[in-house]
Amino acid sequence: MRRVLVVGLGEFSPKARETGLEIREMTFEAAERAYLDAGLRPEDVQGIVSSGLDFNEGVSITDSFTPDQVGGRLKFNMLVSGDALEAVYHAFMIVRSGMLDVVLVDGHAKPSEIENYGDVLRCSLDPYCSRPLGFDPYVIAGLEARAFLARTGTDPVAFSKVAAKNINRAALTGGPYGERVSPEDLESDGYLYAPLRRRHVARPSDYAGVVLLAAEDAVPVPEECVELVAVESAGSSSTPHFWLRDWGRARWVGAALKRIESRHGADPRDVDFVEMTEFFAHQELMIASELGIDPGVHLDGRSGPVVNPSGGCLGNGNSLTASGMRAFIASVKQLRGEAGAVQVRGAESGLVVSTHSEIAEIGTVALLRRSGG
Amino acid sequence: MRRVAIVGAGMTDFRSMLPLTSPEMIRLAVKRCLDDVGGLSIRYVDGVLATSAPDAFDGYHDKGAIAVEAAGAIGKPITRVFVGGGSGVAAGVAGWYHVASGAFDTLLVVAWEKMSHPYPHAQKLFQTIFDPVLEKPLGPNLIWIFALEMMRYMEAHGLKKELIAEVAVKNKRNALDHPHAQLGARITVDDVLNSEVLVWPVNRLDISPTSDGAVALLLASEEVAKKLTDNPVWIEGVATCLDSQFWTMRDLAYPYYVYLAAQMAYRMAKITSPLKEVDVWEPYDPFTYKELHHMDGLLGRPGLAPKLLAEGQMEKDGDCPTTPSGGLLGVGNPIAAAGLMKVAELYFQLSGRAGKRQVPDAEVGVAQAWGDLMQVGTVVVCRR
Repeated sequence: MRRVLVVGLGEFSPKARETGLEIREMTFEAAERAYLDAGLRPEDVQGIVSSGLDFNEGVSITDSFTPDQVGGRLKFNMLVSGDALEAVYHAFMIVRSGMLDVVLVDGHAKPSEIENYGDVLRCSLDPYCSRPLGFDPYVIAGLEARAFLARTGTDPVAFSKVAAKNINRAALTGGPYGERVSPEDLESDGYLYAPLRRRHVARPSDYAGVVLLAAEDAVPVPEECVELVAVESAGSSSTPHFWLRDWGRARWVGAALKRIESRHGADPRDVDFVEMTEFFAHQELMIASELGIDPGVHLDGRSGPVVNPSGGCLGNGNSLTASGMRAFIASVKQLRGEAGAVQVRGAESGLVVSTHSEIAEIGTVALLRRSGG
Repeated sequence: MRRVAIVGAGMTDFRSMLPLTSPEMIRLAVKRCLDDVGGLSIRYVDGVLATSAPDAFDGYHDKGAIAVEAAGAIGKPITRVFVGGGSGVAAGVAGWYHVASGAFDTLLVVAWEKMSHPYPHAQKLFQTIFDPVLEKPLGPNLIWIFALEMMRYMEAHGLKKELIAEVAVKNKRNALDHPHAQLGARITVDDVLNSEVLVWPVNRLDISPTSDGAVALLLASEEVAKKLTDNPVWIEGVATCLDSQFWTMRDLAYPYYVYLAAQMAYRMAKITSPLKEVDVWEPYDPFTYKELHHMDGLLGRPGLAPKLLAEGQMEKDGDCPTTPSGGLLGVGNPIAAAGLMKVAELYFQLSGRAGKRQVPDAEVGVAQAWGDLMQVGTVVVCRR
């Protein structure tokens, strides 16, 4: 199979609320930067894989609104209904299969324009058994956080340690929710979804990100580049029927890692850092636990991979289905040595873990490494 | 690039107000698909690729989740693709690269649509597909914009409604032989012309119905396919192509995006002369004129399809057998499921199991779907 390289990236950086540009203009800016970064022109790209969900964007057939602003007119197009890392997965398969050589992947979201996101998310629950109860779907996250604590015996202060770590890191990179805080500061926050406190929950951010993937034999490869070694996804239970969940675990992560090991012969745990979409503080601990990272160790930074060096969603915001793209691009920047104040020294490989949505038990895992051309 | 085969197919009846929920429809289609592969257990399926048109139809945000339990995907990778009305065939495209890339050895592809949910009619929900700034304030209706396209097509090629109505006559007649069809019927050209005018030049019998239904296919790598069946049908060419969302800036007389998608799929399948090499065509026919419009794009020759129709070559026993299934006009139009039904029809035709619909000696088939704002073409080429 062909090697797949990340040859370009561009972002409209996350903001708590973007008031100047609308979502298509934000995506245009990200695409323009990705083309510049890759030294490619739109005509060099053969296909577009976008990600998005109708209700988030307030239109049906949301895919139809993507190609014009990313140079995708009259090209191959596929929309993946879910997180942008799933879209990366599709593009990876498209290039690996030999079908296309250069593919653009898009993730964009503007939650600041959604007036009733709680109602939207509630519509992802089973309409007969769950939805009529009328609860805020983030309650599921609270229940899950509680189950995690019960299952592992973790001190709930760990949630504040995770959140403080990520919020402080985002402060170093200008992330929209970055600030200098201590776990003790966060412990004084009120509960939103007990045991989750206010800043244990990622707040919305507007964002667009675009990456260009290419087969190594299709473009001039620089001496140093980033290879997308493997991408896999997995699910645990059924999202609408939340009572079937395996509470307090992100078991799907382990299943995806197994697929990376068995189908790609790679060791996804042997990495220098992990970027993940932790919409809630406990999710970082649940995912880290599935990766075999001791929560105490990773919080203290003594050894093992650095978790969420970019500040994750708690520091940079919840960009809905574009969250996985932000984590992916943050990882590529790490491997290029372009992560600035949060650069992981000597980073050679990284893992991106992205949940399909805040309350889903399905997600995607991507393994990246720095590679010679 | 690995070869990818269709090794099984199953579907529900297509009906208005089918008395099944979306999960129940999916489960039934999946069961019939697995039964078609000798009662294969879902345990042997590596993953599920789902598709369904707008979330609004099911009133579900992120409605791919509906398929998780219904398709037996708990604990398996599952993903949903979506390109409007082109979704059904796009699922065949995406299914192909899931297996061809080596990521999956077996993949269940599931499409469903429950159009009877929206009250009083799905048409209201279609108003949410338009650009919210430039178009939606005008209160457009899907039939209006298709009437514009039909008018432009008729004008470009000097076509009469009498000829276009022949598509409805042919497809509804073909659907009489489809066991799951909603609107198989013997009708005449006069029946079409005398049916209610909805938006000139579109009459009621020019339009496919709103439907509920689900379809499932099992795809497999070559190695696995040979273990599962003696009669695989190979997916040899796939493509999609999307034009600008600003549809008012395009000449609606020719679906250039369908042409480009077809050319890409033909290159993969090493087809150089489609009219000669393809034995069975399943173009997307939500409206009568669309079958001709799409065939023009698939054949790469604007205005050719109406001539083939007038010569009777698009009949089952003609040189260009087109829509032997009965299509959306006859079998029904549960949007995403209708597209995958067309890929399933290729599987039935090319494996010689299409019953009374069988096109003799069919070896190569093309299925195509279309959607978004008259904007996307999705194409699959299959070979026996």
